[in-house]
Amino acid sequence: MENNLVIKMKNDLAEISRSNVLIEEFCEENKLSNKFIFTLNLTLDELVTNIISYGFEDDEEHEILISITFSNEKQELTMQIEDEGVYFNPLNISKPNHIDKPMEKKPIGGLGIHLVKKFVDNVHYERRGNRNILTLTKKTNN
Amino acid sequence: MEIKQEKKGNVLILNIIGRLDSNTASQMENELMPLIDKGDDNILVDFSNLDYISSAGLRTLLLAAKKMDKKDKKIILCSMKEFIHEVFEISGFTSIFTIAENEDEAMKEFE
Repeated sequence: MENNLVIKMKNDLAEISRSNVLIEEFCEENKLSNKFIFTLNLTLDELVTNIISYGFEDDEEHEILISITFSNEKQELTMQIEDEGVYFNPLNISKPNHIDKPMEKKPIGGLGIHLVKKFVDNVHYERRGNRNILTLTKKTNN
Repeated sequence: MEIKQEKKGNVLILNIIGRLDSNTASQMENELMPLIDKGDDNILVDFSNLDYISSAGLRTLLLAAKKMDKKDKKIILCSMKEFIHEVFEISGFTSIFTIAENEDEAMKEFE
C-alpha cells in the first residue's frame, strides 16, 4: 500500500514551517519515527530554502510542488521537489572542504546540501523543460 | 522560536524554545548579535527546548561563536537532543563548540 501527500508551496520562507507540520502529520499517520520526521523536515527545509533564496530571478510568486509517497511494502519514502527556478543540480555540489577545519577557517554557510546527502539514501536530479525535478528516497531503517 | 534570557554571575543563559529553521534563524540572529555586541558576559545556550535545527541555525551559531571569540569570551552549548547533536557532528561543529551534558556541567566549564 502507498500513501501520498502533495504540498503546494509558495516561494516564501514562512511556508517551510507550514509544510513541516503537514509532513509531521503524514509521517505520524505512517508510524515513522521522530528521527525520521526530523531528517525529512531538514531535507525539505534545506532544499526549498535554496530554491527560494537563489532559484528565482524575479520578484514574482512561484509555486514549488512537493510530492511525498510512502510505500509500506518497501518501507521507503520518496520525496519529489519540483520548481520552475534556474537550473540547479545539488548533485554537482561537492562536499564542503571545511568540515574538519577550526572555527577561524570555517566559512559561514554551505552546509545544507551536505546534510541532505548524509540524511537520505538516494538523490536523483532531472531538468525537464524549465523545471528542476529532484527525487529523494529514504528507507525507514536508516 | 523564542529566546528566554537569564543571568547567573557573568554568564548569560539563553534558552531557545521551538525551532531554528531558515525562517526563524534570522530572528535569532537579530536578537543574539546585539546581545553579544553590547554585553560583556560569557554565553550559555540551552538547547533543552529546541526541537529542530537546520543549517541556517548552525550558521547563526557560528556567527555568534566568531563574534565571541573576537571578544575573548566563551560560548557553550548544553542539553542537546540526540538528532540535533548528529547534525552538529555531520557539520563538524562538535569540534568547534563545547557541548555540555546539562546546565550544571556547562557552568563548571566557565569557571
